[in-house]
Amino acid sequence: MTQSQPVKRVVDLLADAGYRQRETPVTVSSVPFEFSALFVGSDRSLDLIVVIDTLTELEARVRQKVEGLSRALDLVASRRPLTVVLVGPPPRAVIVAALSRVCRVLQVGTPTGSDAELSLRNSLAVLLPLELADASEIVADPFGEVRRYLQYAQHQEAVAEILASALEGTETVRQTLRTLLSEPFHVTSEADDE
Amino acid sequence: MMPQLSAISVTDFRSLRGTVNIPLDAPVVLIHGPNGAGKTSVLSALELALTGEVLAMRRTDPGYRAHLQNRDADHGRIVLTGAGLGRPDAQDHEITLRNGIVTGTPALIGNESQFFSERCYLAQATLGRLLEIYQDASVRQDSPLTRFVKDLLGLDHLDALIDGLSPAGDVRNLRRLVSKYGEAETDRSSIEGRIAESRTGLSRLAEEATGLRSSIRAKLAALAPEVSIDRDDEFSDTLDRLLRQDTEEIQLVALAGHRRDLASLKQRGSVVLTQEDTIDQDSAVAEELAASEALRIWRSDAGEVLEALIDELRGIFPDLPSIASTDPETALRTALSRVIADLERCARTIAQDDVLANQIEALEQSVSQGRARMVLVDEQLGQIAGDTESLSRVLAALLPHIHDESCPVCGRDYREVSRDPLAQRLSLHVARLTEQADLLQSLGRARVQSINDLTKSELDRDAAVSKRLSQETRGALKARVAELTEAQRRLNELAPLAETGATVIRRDVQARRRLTELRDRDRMSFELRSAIGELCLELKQTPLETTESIADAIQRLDAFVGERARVLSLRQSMRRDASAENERLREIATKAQEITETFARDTKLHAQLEVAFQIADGRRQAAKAVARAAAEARTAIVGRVFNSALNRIWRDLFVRLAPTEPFVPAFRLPRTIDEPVTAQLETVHRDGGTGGAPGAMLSAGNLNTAALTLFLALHLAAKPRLPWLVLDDPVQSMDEVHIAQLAALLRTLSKEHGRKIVMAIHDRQLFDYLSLELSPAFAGDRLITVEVTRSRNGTSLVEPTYKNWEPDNAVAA
Repeated sequence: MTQSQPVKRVVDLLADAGYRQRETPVTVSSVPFEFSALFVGSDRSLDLIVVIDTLTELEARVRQKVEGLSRALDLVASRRPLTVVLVGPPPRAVIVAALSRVCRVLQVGTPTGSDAELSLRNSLAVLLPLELADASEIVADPFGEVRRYLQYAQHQEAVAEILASALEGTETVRQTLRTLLSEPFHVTSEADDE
Repeated sequence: MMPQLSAISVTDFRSLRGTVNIPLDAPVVLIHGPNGAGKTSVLSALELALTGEVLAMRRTDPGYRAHLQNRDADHGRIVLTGAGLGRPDAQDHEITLRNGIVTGTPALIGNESQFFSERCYLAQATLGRLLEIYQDASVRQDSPLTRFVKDLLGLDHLDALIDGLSPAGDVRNLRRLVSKYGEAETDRSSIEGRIAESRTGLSRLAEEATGLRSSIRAKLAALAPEVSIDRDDEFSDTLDRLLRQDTEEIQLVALAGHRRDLASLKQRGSVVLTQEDTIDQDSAVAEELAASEALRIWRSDAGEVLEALIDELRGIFPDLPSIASTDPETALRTALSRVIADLERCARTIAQDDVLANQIEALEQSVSQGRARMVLVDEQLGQIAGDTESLSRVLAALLPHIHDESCPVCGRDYREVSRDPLAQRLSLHVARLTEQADLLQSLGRARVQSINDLTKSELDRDAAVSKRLSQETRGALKARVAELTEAQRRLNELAPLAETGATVIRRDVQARRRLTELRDRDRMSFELRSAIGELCLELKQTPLETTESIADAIQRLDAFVGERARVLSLRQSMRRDASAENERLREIATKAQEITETFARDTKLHAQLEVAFQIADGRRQAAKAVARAAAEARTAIVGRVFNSALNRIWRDLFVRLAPTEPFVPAFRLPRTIDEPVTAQLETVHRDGGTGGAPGAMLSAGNLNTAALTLFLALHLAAKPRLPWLVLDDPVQSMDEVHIAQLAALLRTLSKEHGRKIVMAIHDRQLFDYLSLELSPAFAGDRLITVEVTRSRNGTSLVEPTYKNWEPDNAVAA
């Protein structure tokens, strides 16, 4: 079965996300099921994802197929959670509701244009790997940053002393500032006292 | 090691009655039960055991601990089993509840405890208020969200720099912080003041010194023209020597002596000078001769008569002064007054004697009257017989004894004698006797009085008689009166003569004195002239000519001495003034030296201070640079991290659950560098541009989704100290689409990111759905589902089910 352009995009995205494509028709509980595409999750995921092109498939047929697959999975006591990705014109709400009772339904419509990719990603987000921020980005290096700004500053010893005190909090910084600014006057005040 | 939770045993805690044991040793634990079965109680028990608090309850009721224990039990108990919790060797952590008091040590402490409360555990009550809680407007600076962001980014250190260095930016704050700096500023300005003061002081002193020098020069020209002083430094030593030679003093002392001499001469001269020079000595001699001749004539005539009379009178008054011993007038007056006094005395004595004679005569008469009176009284007394008084007393005593007419004495019947009753007779008799006795007494008193009067008159008479003058004395007195009266007449006659005598004597005395005085004056005049002559010599003045009068000479000398003294005094005062000025010059030099030293010291201090200020201000600039750099770094980090980390995760999570919502919640970035970092929320449109706050922009369901994803994003953005997510029924108002997406998300978190998930669900369908979705997916994966119910008697029942991984062959993997 030749894939339409939108279906191909979905397939590529899911394959990129690490899902493994399986040949269709797939046989579950001795019943063969035909879909535009079918994926299973990788090592740590039981996902079963079927991609249906609503442009080529009748609504009733879609519902029949999905409910059939669901029942077949139940029969073999499969724990695979079923996700149906609907590509093309959205079906009537009553059909979507019926599908939702037996599986997760993701409608991607027919993404076109420059933001087609983004729109598709948004629609399928729940299937895509969750990218957590790089630790180095979150754990910022405030001091490195400050030092970069102060690279060419004068009075580097004073700068270093102040920076070192920052680890111990505001009061210590203040104390350091006090010491730094008091210290030059020690000599003069002693001379004064004489 | 990473903390592990194995199981929790809960007894009589909140709505749980009896003991329930819930296993927790699986990556996913799903707790199901109808509302009110105690799911939330299990999760709060877990929170309490881990942190010692139930935060969501504390927010609504600070006294919540009193209600933790099940109301039907007398105490409650929670035992948490795990590893890596609290003390390394402890396996169990037990919390006991009794009478509202919670005892036992929580399993987590400090940061981990806080992390659990804020990042791992999402209580049901919290979810709805999450956005509100996170950006509580009143405490933005210290909201949990802000705290989290700062903690996450290590901004505390930057804030410490910015806050700690803020005084460097403002000099007033700097002075407050660094007292030495402010003091040094004060010192500097006071030193600058002193330096300026020293400068003006020195110039003032120099000016004064110039004035003094020219003044001294002027004086010196008058005092010692031969001395010239050219250099300024000679003013001290040379001049001092010169000015100390006070030659004027000696001369002035000598002059003062001369002045005294002159003064005494003047005084002596005044005696001479006041008298008339025209009176010549010859007329004085003639007058003296005339006066003494007049005196001689008077003495031989009237003087002799008067002298004789006074001699005669001296027979009576021996102490009368003679004419020679006093003047004739006085002698006469004395004699006359004595004569008159004695005359008066004699007349008084005779008059007194006459008075006595009269008194004696009167007394004689009264004596003879008294005697006649005595004779009369005695006669009357003779007429009253016997002792009448005692007889009347005896007869009166008889009265009570008379009872009838018979006499108690003789017993005779009185009726024989008289017709009157006896008692009457006796009473009358007694009365007569008593009357006579009274008369007798008064006569007696009259007699005594008469005797006394008589005796007194006789005594007075005798006394008067004895005081009377004898006949001879009386005669002598009368003779003396006659003699004195004669003397008085004569003295009065002589009075004019005596007066003349006195005048003559006075004239003689005056003439003689006048003559003596004239002679004295001549002698004194001579002495004065010679003394003046000597003085002229001494003062080197023109000698005294005979034609020059003493007064003129004295005046001439006096004028000379006065002028001389004036000149000398003037010179002396000039010398003294110059000396004082010279002394002042020396003082000025000393003072100028002092000021110069102070000036040098101050200049040195000022230079030191300037150096110190250079260093301090350099450091202050460095501090300001650090503060600025910290602020910039903060802005950069916040911008980067918010955009690239937090906002991205949140957006990702939110889009997963609400793929069709055009507005996505986000953290608002601080707009300026100086704005303090506070975590505030806003929404951004997917196509760019910002919207309002999430509360205003999102539907209730999506708001819930925003809150839930915010919670998850915050959990995921932080370093996973505790990789746990404990969720209490987070899907109350989400529609089915969201539930399916949430299930997928939870699965991703559990399977891909290793988060342990403990979740309570009340909805049966959702529970089944999640049980399926979160089924073990690989070897070692496990799911525990727990059913919480109640027995008929209200005891809580728990039934756990373990599901381990089995290969799924429905569709080949």
